[in-house]
Amino acid sequence: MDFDAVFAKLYPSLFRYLQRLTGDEDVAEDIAQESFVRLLRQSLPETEVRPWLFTVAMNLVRDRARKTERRQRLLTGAPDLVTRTPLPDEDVERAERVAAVRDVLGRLPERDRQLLLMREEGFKYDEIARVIGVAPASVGTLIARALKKFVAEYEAHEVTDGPRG
Amino acid sequence: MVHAAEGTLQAYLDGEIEGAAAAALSDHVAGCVACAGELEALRRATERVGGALALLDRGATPPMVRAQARLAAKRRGRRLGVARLGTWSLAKAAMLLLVLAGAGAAAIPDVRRAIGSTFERVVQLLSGAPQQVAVPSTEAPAVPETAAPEAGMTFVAPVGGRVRVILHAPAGRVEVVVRLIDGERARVETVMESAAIRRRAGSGRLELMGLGTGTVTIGIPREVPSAAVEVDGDVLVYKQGEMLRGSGPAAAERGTEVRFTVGS
Repeated sequence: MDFDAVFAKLYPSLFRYLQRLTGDEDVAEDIAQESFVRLLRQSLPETEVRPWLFTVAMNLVRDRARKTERRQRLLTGAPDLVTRTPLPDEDVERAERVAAVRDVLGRLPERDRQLLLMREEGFKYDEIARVIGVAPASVGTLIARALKKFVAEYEAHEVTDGPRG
Repeated sequence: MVHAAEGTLQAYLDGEIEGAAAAALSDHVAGCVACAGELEALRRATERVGGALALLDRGATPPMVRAQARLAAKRRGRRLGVARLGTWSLAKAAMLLLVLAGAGAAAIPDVRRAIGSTFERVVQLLSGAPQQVAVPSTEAPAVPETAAPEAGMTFVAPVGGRVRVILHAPAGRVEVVVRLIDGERARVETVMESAAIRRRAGSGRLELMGLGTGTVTIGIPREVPSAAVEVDGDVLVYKQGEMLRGSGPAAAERGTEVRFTVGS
């Protein structure tokens, strides 16, 4: 395995996947990096590398979510120390749209989120099946249902928030 | 009439069904209003979700330089025998190595040159080689996936100053011509002897599946800052400044027009 080639090829995709999944660029960067560090210790056939890397990354996301949850429980009630400056209108609108997507994504089951994000990264169905732990033959159905769920939630969001001019 | 399952239609849209099975499904959909409607609904949902998810991308480029530097430091750390330390210790070792490298670079001209050369390569990679990243999409005109005729043309609007054209597993010998063109949108023209081409589009990219033997001509707008043509996951042509550059089997190619052949 040519590690540098694998890194150049897969890092952008893994980072984007993680950034979309977590909504946090720093977390995405840390987890992507840690995943590649762990890959250094592996000797895998080329076809296994991408599913392995994304599986490890997903496990790291879960670990971090558990730790963050604990920390947030401890910090509940602490004052917000971040000073927020008002955003220009354009940025506000974009921020609202991003927040809507993130909200919809957050309301989907974890498996659906993974399915949609991995599909966007161009994963083949057999790779998705390995990462998610389902039969390859069921991936198409699961993706179709996840897509419909996302769109239904997203449209409901738009109705709730009202049309944007 | 037995209708196609939604999972089958989704797999068809995603290029998971090929050859005779794809042709049979295509024939069925052409004559079945219900399945055509379902396929269209899935296609619309696919585009909608793709556009929405692209909104989540904050930057045009992931922090490759930083990641490469940190990872390189960790790999050096491993070679120095700290491989079994925990992640935090590794990070500290990486920082120490970076500091030492910096001090060495300042003190020793050869080391400085070596580090400078590595840095230049990374910068070159970043500025020259395209990054496979979707960028925020505000208006991402999506091209519907359609069963293509033997000769077909598709336009792709750049998103975030970037266009990607991705060819998947050509079954035959495909001559690919990439050239710079005037205009705002990329143009992808296929001429195939036998074609069951399917197209998947979104966020400034177009994927072509089911290619047979023939020619794919790709016009890249001169004004677009970043463009890439990929075959089965490898970037074979990318735009650098006013020029197209080849990579891999097309490495010798550069200019305003680049040609290469894939498949057999």
